[in-house]
Amino acid sequence: MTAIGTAAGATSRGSNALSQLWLRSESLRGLTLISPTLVVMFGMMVAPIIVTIVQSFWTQNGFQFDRTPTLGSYAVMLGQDGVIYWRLIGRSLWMSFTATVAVVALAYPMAYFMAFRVTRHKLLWIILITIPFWTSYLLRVFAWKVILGFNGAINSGLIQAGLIKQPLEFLLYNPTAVTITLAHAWAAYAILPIYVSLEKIDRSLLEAATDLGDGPVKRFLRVTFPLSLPGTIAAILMVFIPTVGDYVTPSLVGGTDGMMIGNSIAMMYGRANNQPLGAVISIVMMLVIAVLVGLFLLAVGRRRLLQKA
Amino acid sequence: MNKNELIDRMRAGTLSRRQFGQILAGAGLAFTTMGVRAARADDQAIYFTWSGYDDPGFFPGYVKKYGANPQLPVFATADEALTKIRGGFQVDVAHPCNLDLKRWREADVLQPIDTSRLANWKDLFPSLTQVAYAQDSGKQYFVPIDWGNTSVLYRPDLVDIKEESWSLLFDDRYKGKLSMSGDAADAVPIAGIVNGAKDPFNMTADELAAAKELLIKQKPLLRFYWDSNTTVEQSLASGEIVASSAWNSSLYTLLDQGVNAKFMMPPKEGIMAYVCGLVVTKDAPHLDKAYDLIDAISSPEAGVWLINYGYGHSNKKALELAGDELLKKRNLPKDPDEFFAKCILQKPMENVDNVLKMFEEVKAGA
Repeated sequence: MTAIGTAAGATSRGSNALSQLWLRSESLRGLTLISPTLVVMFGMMVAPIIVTIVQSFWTQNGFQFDRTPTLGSYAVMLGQDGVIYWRLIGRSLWMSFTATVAVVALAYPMAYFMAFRVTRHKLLWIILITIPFWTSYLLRVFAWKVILGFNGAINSGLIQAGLIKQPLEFLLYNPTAVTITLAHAWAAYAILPIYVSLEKIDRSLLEAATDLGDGPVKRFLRVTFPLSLPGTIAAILMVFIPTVGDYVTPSLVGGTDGMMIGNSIAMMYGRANNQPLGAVISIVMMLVIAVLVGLFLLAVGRRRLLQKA
Repeated sequence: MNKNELIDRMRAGTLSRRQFGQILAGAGLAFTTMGVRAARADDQAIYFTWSGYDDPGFFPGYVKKYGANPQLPVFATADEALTKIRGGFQVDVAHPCNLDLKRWREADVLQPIDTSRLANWKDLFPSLTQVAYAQDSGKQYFVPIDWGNTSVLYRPDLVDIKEESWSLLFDDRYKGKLSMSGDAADAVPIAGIVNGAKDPFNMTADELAAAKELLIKQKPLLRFYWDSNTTVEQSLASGEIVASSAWNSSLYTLLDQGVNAKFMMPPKEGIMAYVCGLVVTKDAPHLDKAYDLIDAISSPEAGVWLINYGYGHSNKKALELAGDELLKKRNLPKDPDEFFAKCILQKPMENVDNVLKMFEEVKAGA
């Protein structure tokens, strides 16, 4: 009897101590609160990256994996056979870069208009911007195929208008088509962050600039634009990073030389049966993007530091 | 409480909270069980087949028996299908071709088929049921269904050629207006045939290197590598491309639409031919329905439909039922042996990993 009583007492004292700790430690409470997210993050993002890293040290013969760790696939990537993948990474970076520039150049005026010119029904405007996103990504890419195609909207329109006799063939199945499609498909990801940062700007700052003698152009360059930089930078990153690895857009509208690095990674995991090399290419690509983004942020950060000084 | 009373009482606001809760619970239960019934309607055999082969005409008997189509995921190349199945994609019946069998058997994803459960088995041509890798120590792994050709499909009104030859696909006069299969199993042997390789399905290292060089030279001439015969048909019909590698049915699809199209039968270097058929995967979730599906696809009625679509069928009775007129119209002999004797039969490639890698390198822009 007494033994049981003591044990029960110990348990309740133990759980008391636990709940005390829980109540006292703010970080523990925070961790508990985000634990579901952490589990998802780990399961969906960290674990696959670990698997990819481990796999990059294996070799594959046909359908069998040889699990002895080796740097063989890294050697391929750095050797003569790896040149095409580096070239593809370069081409993908360039295509994403042009797409990003196009997206931001188009998105900024739209976001500006929404933030400063639209005074009523703002929500309606935001919903209008997101309407293309109500359909699947694949359908949007196909829509561009219909627009740019040989018998597509642009070609038949120009032929009907009598401007051309033969359909223009340079519209579809090349890297430009990929850039156009990407620029449209990712527009909302750029508009929304830019809009938010423009919307947040304190209007009295603009009035002050005007009072102190700045014209509209100078006011934009000295006040509006610097204050909207956080959103613009977020937009650049949100468009650039995912589009480098895009796979479905180039395979649908890219033709024979619009291929991007994502396609060759998909091939390594699929038809070419070389998952370790696919893993190596993925890792190299992630590193390259990380370095580029790091350099970009560093450059932006330094400029802003200099401005403050 | 009947429906009107319920609405009246809700309007009047006299519905108690407990009653409302009961109604919600009932509605929830009803929705859940409805969901179960809907899920059961989806519980059909899974038939993993080529895109373009997902028409109910291929399996009339199955639709009759179960009142629904099988589930129909599609693939663009047999290698892609195998990769997916190996990756854990569950299917009952898949549709590879004789040239894929070696690889599929090596990948160890198939189970032997009990031919005594198939009513139409006895009517199938033995030369087709016995193709290489279809059988192994008395066990059958492959039920042949469709046989046809790989050749050049072109627009005679838009090209100017003296004789029909595979070399049309490499003719730089038609730069940007040609297309080629994106499947190494078709594309690489074509390059081998054009180069005059001794065995286009088992090329030496030198021959393979020459084929690669030819394919690299061809790439800037191509509008795209095709993944589905629909793409080929649409762009040939519009004149976007003037010639492409293709299969029989595309010709008849185009002719039916009144497009001036011609299928080289044969090109001067010889026409390629294949037989495709059905296999059952090791962990098929609906085995009984899988057998019904195979029986339906190998039936004479399905055969006539397939012949009309443009391909030969493995069932003798299907060829009889189709009649001489239709066979002649589709350019098909009454006996597949006669057909294959005149063709280059596509075979499993010996060095398939190298071939796949080489072709992917070409596409990646080596």
